[in-house]
This record gives sequence, C-alpha cells and structure tokens, in this order.
Amino acid sequence: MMIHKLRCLWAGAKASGTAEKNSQSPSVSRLGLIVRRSALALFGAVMTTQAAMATSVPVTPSLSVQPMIAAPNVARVITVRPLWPQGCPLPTLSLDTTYVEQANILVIRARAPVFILPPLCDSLAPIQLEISYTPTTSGALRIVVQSDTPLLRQEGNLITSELSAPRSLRDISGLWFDPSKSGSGLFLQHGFYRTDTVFGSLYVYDQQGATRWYSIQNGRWLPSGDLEATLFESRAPNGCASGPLICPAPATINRTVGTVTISVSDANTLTKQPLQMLLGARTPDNKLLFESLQLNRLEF
Amino acid sequence: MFVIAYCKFYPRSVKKLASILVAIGTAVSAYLAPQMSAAQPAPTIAIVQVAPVNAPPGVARTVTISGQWPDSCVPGIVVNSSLAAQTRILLVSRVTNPIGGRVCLQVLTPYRFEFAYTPIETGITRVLVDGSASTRGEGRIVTTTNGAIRAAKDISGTWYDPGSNGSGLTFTHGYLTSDTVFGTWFVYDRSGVARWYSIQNVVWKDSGSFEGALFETAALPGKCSIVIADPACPQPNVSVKQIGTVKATFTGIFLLDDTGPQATIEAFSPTNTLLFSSRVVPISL
Repeated sequence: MMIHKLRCLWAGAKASGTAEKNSQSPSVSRLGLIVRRSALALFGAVMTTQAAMATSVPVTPSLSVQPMIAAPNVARVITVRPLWPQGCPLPTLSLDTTYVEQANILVIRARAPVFILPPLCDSLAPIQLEISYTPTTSGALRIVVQSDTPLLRQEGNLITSELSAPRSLRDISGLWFDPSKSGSGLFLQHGFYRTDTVFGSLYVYDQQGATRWYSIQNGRWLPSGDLEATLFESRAPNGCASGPLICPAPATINRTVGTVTISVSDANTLTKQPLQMLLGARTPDNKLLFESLQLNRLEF
Repeated sequence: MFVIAYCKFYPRSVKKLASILVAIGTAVSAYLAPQMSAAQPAPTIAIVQVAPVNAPPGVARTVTISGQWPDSCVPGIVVNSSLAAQTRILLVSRVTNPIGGRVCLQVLTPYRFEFAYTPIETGITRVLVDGSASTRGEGRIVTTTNGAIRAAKDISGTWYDPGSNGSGLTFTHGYLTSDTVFGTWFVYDRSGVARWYSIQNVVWKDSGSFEGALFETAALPGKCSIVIADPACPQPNVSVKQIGTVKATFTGIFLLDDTGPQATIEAFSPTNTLLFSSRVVPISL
C-alpha cells in the first residue's frame, strides 16, 4: 500500500513537472525540475525506508538476559533482537533506571539513527543489540524497550535472586481457563516481583455436578521453569450448619488431593501471542487425577 | 542595579560580603537544623490531583503535584511521558538545582507544580512522583468515553477474612483497561463441603464500592475419574443460575505502598435479605 502510494505521488509529480515545464523558460524549468526531482528522490528514499520498516513479515523478535538468574551486583547482559532494515545504521540503546525503585521497571531507550541523507535500506532482518545492567537488589524487574520506532519495542523480565533455588521467569497471576471446559478455572496469585510464592484456587465440579474448589499451595519452581505444588481440599464441618445454605467459615480439615504441575509457554508481547499454561494433576500415588488442561489467561 | 554598579567598582568587597553572607547562612542553618527537625512534623507524600477527574481521550488534563518538602530547597519536576503509551505510567522526576552553594533551611516548605497531559486512550494512567519513601506519591488519570465511574484501586488478588480462614474471594480486575471485575467466592455448604460461586456483572457505584450478581453453576454428574474418594474435576458448566447479589465496599489507604486495604463483602438473596458477609483483607505474597 505504501509503495503504491509512493508510485502515485511520483507519477503525479512527473505530470505536474511536465505541465509547468510548458509555461516557463527552459533553463528555469529545468532547474526547478531537477530540484523537485531531487526532493522527490529524497522523499522517495525516506518513504522506501519507512515502507521497508512497515513491511509485514513474520515477526519473531526476542529479549533475553544473561545470566538469566543471578545474585544482586552481578552484571547482566540484556540482548534485544528486533527486526531492522538491512543496510541501515543500527539503533542505539541507553538505560533509564528512574523507574526501577518505584515501579520495578527498567527502561531501555532504543533510538533509531537520524539520517541527514536517508540510506537505501533493504528488507527487514534480525539484528542483535546488547546493553549491560547490574541490579543491586533481589526481585524481578520488568524490562521495557521504549522507542518511537515500533519495530524496536519489546518487553521482558530481569530476575535477581540470592537464593540458589530456581525462580520463576514470568508473572503467572490471573484467572486461567481451558476453553473446552469453560465454567471451570484456575486463579493464581503470584508474588513474582517479591517472594515468588504462588497461591492458587482451582474451580471444578464433583461427581454430582456441583461446584467444588481446591487450593494450590507449597509450590516450588523446578529448574525447567515449571511449578510443582500441592493440591489441597478444605472442609468446614461445623461451618454454617444452622445458618444459610452456604457461608464463609474457618476450615478445620485439609486433605492432600494430589500434586499439580504448571508449565508456562512463552508469550510475545509484540505479536500479541498470549501466555499459555499446561496444568497436570496427579494423585499422591501418581494416578492421573484429571486430563491435562491447556489454559489461557482471561484478559479484560 | 546598585549591586551591579557596586560590583564593577568594588569586586573584592562584594566577593568578601557574599562569602560572609553564605557563612552566616550556613551557620544559622546548621544551628537551626537539629532543633527544627526535632520539632517539625515529617514531610508529606506528594499529592496528585487531576482536573477534570474523568474525561474522554484527547481532552487535556491538568495534573497538580503538591506537598511539603523537608527543607527550603524544593526541587523542580520533570515529566516523562514517553513510556505512557507502552506502560500506562507517567513518571514525574524531581530535579535538584545544579548550582551549588545554596543554603537550605531545615523547614517544611509547601510546593505546588502543574503540568498538562492529554491521554489518547481510555483506561488508567498511573502518575508516579519520584522521591524518598516520605516524599514520593502516586495518582491516576482516568479516561473514559462516557464519564463512567471507575475503581480507585486494582482489587485483583485473593482476599480472606481472618475470622473464617479457609474461605475467601478472588478478584480478576481489568483496572488499567475495561475496569471489569470477575470474582469467585469460595465458601462451604451446610455439610462443610467446599463450594464456589462466581461474581459477575459488576457495576462500580463509586470509586470504592460495587454491586454485582452472584451465580451458581453446575456440570454434568459422574464425569470425574474415581481415582480418589469423592473426586472433583474440571468440566464445562451446563447450567448457570443467579442466586443473589453482592455488594462490596473497599476502604483503606489507596496510595503507593499501602498496606491497609480492607473490604466488606455482603451476599443478598433475590428478595434482598442478607445471606452472609465477610470483612476481608488481601493476601500479600
């Protein structure tokens, strides 16, 4: 579309140039034509660059941190891999740490070079840009690559932990559901930016088809990035026996129903590919409690 | 004019006078500082106000930052809006005067700054004012197309009543976007069996309270594997029935680093009889 518009503009300019040529002296009109054509060539080069940048190609940009998890005061290398027009001067990265303390956000500003004479750039290809950052405290930071050029915008996480135990790589908080079993669901609260603890509630149905809930607690992150936790069922036998049909009551009995494993797949904020989750559940004697669920997060 | 003229003819004297004045100021400041800091109340967090409070996208808003600074050298502010579209955060940084040699009296000093900001999308933009724990602040710019009432705070998370630990509520809240709330209330029936109900169709009555509908769902019986006694499993629901309404009122400090939010949640029958209620607090992980 952009290239088509450019051709139309060019054709229009040529026609306009021809019409004016007839009404002016040959030398003046030739000079004017050269100036106009130079300006149009410059404009065309700019537009071609922008058109190349706006071309629709499969986008697989990524952002990674090395080492992925490390203790405070260990230098980390953040690698941004955007798509960029081949042959164009590379963008530059700079850190802005003013959001770190208050909002847990590390901003990386990506600036595209300013062209005096626009270069002729080719189609988009992956490039790699690196910048170093040394966190001073434990926790998770949201990395936001900010740029006026949409191609360069990305997001990721930087995890800092003094513990030798594995830590989560993503915030899995929210309400999750399997579209094929809509009406059941999983709510997770995750202290991703602090303790990394997960508390969950699994909303299911019993053999009579009535609602039943389990809690998910005692989670531990595995080196694979998966979460393994215990599935509990609570009961309150003396809860609301003489009151309404249902009520909040203190739980007095907790039984272990089984173990759940949660595997989270990567999300890509640029392509709007959402985070997905696979939930498996087994009894304490390793029998399948129910079929694994492929969960999507509910977004409002 | 006099000072300029004096400077031209007596530059040495002026320099001497200036250094004497700075020395006196510093001495006075050093003398007063411990007494005043002991007597003065602590500086206040930054107060963020937005006018108009709620407006459609494209309408310019005036954001006012005010408070009391711990000394007389109140820093200026710089507003960084470059991240607003990507993160919905507007950062207000404080900048100190780079010229040294100023005498800062240890007195609480009121300040007030104003700047304009025009949101381009509906939703909430957080305004974070930089500073120490005692001087930073947070506010929000609410942008809606129809002037609808919005929640003052993101209520997402698990809430429970310490008096009935083992029951509770979970809320999923589109605070930054649609302001929609989906809730689940996990309770017990008369036999003490764990049951859950969903809270939907939530309407915010003011920025701290909402009303919604309480639904009971059911699935087909006999669909779970009998690998444990009395099993339960995920299934699609086959029926949805409204069993009542819910009213929730949220209180507490709605500021950055707040630790005291609470909520009263009440369940009513279709005839508007109070079924039960909970005074809940959010769990913090």
